[in-house]
Amino acid sequence: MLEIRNLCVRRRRKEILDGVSLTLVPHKLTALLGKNGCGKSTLVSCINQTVPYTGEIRFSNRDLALMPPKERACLLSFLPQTLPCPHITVLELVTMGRSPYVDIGRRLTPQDKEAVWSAVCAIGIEGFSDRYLDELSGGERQKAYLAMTLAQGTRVMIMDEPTTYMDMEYEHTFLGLLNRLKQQRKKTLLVVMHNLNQAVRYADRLAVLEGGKIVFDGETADCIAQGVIERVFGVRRYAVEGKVFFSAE
Amino acid sequence: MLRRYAVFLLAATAMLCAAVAALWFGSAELRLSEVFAGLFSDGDAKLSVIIRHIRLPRMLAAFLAGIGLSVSGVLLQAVTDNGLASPNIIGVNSGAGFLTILTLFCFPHAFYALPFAAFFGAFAATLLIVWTANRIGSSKMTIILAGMALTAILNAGISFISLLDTDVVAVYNYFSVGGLSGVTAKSLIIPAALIFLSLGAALLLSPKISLLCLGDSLASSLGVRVRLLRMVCLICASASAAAVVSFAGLLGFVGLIVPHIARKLSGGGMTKTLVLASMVGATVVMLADTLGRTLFAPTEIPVGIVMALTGAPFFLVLLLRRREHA
Repeated sequence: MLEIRNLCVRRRRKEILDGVSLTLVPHKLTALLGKNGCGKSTLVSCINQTVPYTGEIRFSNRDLALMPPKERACLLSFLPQTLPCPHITVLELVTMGRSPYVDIGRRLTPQDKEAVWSAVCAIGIEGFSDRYLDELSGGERQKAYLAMTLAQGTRVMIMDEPTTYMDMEYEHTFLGLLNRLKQQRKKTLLVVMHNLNQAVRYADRLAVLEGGKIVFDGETADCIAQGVIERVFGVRRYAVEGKVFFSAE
Repeated sequence: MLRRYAVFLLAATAMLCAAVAALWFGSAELRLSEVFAGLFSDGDAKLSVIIRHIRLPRMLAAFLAGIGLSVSGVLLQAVTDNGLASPNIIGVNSGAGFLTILTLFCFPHAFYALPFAAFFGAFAATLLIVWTANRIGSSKMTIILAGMALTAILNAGISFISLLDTDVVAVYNYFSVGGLSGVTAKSLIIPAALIFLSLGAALLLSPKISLLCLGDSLASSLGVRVRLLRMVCLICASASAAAVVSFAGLLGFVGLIVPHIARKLSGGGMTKTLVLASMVGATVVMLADTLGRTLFAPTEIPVGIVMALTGAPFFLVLLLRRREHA
């Protein structure tokens, strides 16, 4: 599985990531938490190989940096924070998820088409699959992109703040979808999250970044018990009807 | 499904009609039967000369210019994700212009060398921009900025040489407007090969190129070597546009407007857009050249002027309609 060892990123003489080590546990949803500017997006961009770094990121004991991009794309999918909305249909977008499996000059196989439709159905976007992406709401667009990464058929899915522009109801539905993918399709997820309450509710594990360093990596319950979130974010913890909530006050 | 094929059929029919019109109309008035007689039989030597040696090469030149510039425009707008991108942003016009005027300045009678100078100038300018952008990071924005900077330098060079030697200005002006008069079939062989090679490469890579519209990080996560693909597209776009510049001079607006029309007709999808852009581009340039030859015959208006006069208002209408939709 995905293993990050002693990852360092330096920009303009400043350490953005300083010796980060993290191992993703298979079939679990790991939430990556941290204050603004602590290096969360940089860390996931390093995994996507779009930011230069020192250290090692290994997948099943193979260095990701040395892996051909196409092979990497068959193992690991990535959803960035800002999603463009080009003038293409939802189905065309989801089909793009199969591009790592389609060689130059080749067409989609029936298996590819089946994977695309299966992803569309799994996310529940059959109703607007023929609509253009630039005609959809932010939440619908996010679901379309999730279907695209699902069609990619990777074991690990990495997402950078996928619920940033969603209202509470949509956020809840979206995280529920991720949970279902994890359980039914045995996906391993690393999700950068900004909503602490949703993170402790949906994530099996938490990785907390502070000042470019991982200060906690483990089970969600342990993180809460050790008071890591209160210390890092300066929030207070409340328990209502057996559920844990965090608030700034 | 039916609409998709109908669009292709309509574009192919329009292209065929434009080709026939290009052979039919001109300063010598001919009947349609005479056009076909001139094309396929050796009975009338005068007809053969008019059709085979004057109008056919010119029609083919317009056809190739339309395809080359449109393909270049589609590729450039895709890799820079900018609807205002056209061959001049990668230095094609300024590079070709600079080397042409420099050749005229150094060798005033070497007219035969001008197509080569134009091609190499255009191609070298693009390579320089690609190299600079690659050094900086090869993002969409660095390509545009590097292109603007190099264009400014080369345009300054053109102005400087124009000041030093006013004799070259007249020849350069004709080149800079863009025209197809005096084109021979032989001079089109190498440009045609380059244009069709670029089109072939673009069609082959079109599924990967379409991923660039998702942004660099998503395209990369889908297994695309973004920088490499962008460079290959730039080189194809440059080769195609430079090939056109070598026989038609600096034809404006085709590479800018035709990709927009093609996208509108195709409804998205890189392969469909490339094919439609080729057909629409060929149609537009063939019609513009026919208009230029016949409107004020026997005086000829270079196709570049017709394109600018009709293309610019059309582009403004396109922008206004888009604004209304928004």
